[in-house]
Amino acid sequence: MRLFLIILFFSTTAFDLPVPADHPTSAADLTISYSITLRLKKDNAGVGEIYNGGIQTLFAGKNEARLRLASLMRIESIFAVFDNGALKNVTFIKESGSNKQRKVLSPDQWNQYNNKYNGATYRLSGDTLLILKHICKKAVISLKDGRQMTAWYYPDSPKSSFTCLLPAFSGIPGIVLKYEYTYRRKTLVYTATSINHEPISADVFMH
Amino acid sequence: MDKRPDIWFHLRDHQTPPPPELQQRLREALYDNGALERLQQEETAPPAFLRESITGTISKSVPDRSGITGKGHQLFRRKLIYGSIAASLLLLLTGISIYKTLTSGNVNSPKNNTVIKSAPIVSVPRGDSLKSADTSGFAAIASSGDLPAAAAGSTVSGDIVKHGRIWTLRLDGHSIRLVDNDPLFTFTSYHYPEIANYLEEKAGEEIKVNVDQYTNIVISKQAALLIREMYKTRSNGKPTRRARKMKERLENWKKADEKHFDGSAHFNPADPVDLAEFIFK
Repeated sequence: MRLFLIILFFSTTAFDLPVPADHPTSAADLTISYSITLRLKKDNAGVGEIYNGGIQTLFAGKNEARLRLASLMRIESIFAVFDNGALKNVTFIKESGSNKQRKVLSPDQWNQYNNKYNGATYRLSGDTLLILKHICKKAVISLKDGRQMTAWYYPDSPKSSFTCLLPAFSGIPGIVLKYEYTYRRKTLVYTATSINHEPISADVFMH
Repeated sequence: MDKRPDIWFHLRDHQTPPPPELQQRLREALYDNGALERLQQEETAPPAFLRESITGTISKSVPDRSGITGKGHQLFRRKLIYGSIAASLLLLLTGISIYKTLTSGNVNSPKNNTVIKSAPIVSVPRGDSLKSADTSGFAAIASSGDLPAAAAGSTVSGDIVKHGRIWTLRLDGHSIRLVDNDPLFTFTSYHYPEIANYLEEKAGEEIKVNVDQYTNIVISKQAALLIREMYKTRSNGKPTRRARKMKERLENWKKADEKHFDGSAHFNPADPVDLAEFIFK
């Protein structure tokens, strides 16, 4: 009798099992992984070598986004949460190391972080480059203080979550698959190694 | 006793027929005088104890097939019924569980593998997604020690195994538990002396490191050279001066990185301008 009751209990609870939390959020999500490489004239880039070979991954969902940097030096994620399309907050989480860091920024504070991109101008060029079977066009981003970045993008409607975490590309009419920045004759290059429009698990945005 | 058949066999040779008059007299006594008929009509009841003994023996040896006698048997039948019901429910429950697993698997299992499918791990590192774990409020992404053998599916997932704050790196299939939750410190802390041999074997090559189920980073040739240098020892087993200097250099880089990006200044390591201006300054 006891066995019967136990089984009956478990069988009733089985019908009420919670649905896993990692349901897809949206079919129009975007995930891009970029490899980080250095372009140098000399072999040794000093501390840069510890970042060389790292990965930066962008997860852009409907109401959330995440940018994750993984390298030998550090692993860190930036989470953005949106409310009705407007940025609600941004959270930095340093995932590696003994000194755990978590910073939550308001939209205004996040804008201060990216102040250098305010007033940037974009020069779109006809040059093309094939990246992951996408014909990408070149764009040169000029910051107010004269610094310049180069990006390669394919025309698409850019997601607000994408440009929020990569504000340098807010004026580019597409999805950036490669970008680089040269400083003191040394160039840091981000090249997309995968692009995916499949739904992103909600777990990815948990923080 | 064993010899009895032989005894009878031998006695047969000594048999003697009864006298003819004895046979005649016996017939007369039984048939002619009606003694046999009287004996046939006479009945004698067996003793009561004997009957009970026989009945008891029979009831013990032969199971009661009527199904209605004995309290113990009723209990047995009840248990049998409950057992059957329990088994049926268990079967039903198992069926439901399998059904749920299969139906939920359409959502869950593919997601775990997609990125790998779309960007196989080759010489170019690819990265991806993980759940940021964090029970304590701070990052604790962990990695699964077992890598998926194949990829199939469609959803990007963060389905990683959480080991608290301890991660596991994988180098050529060998798992290395992170020291101080830090990839660089794991290589530079001398915690794993075997890393020296591994780096020697891989001299001149990039080293692929699996951070977690979906993220792989590459240690560049130059970075591997620096770390290998750090493991150089003298004949007495102590690090060479150059090795000590290299370790100090790597530690200084680590401190500088933390000071730059973890401080109060608005520098973002995920921003290309901020990162480039730090590493190339």
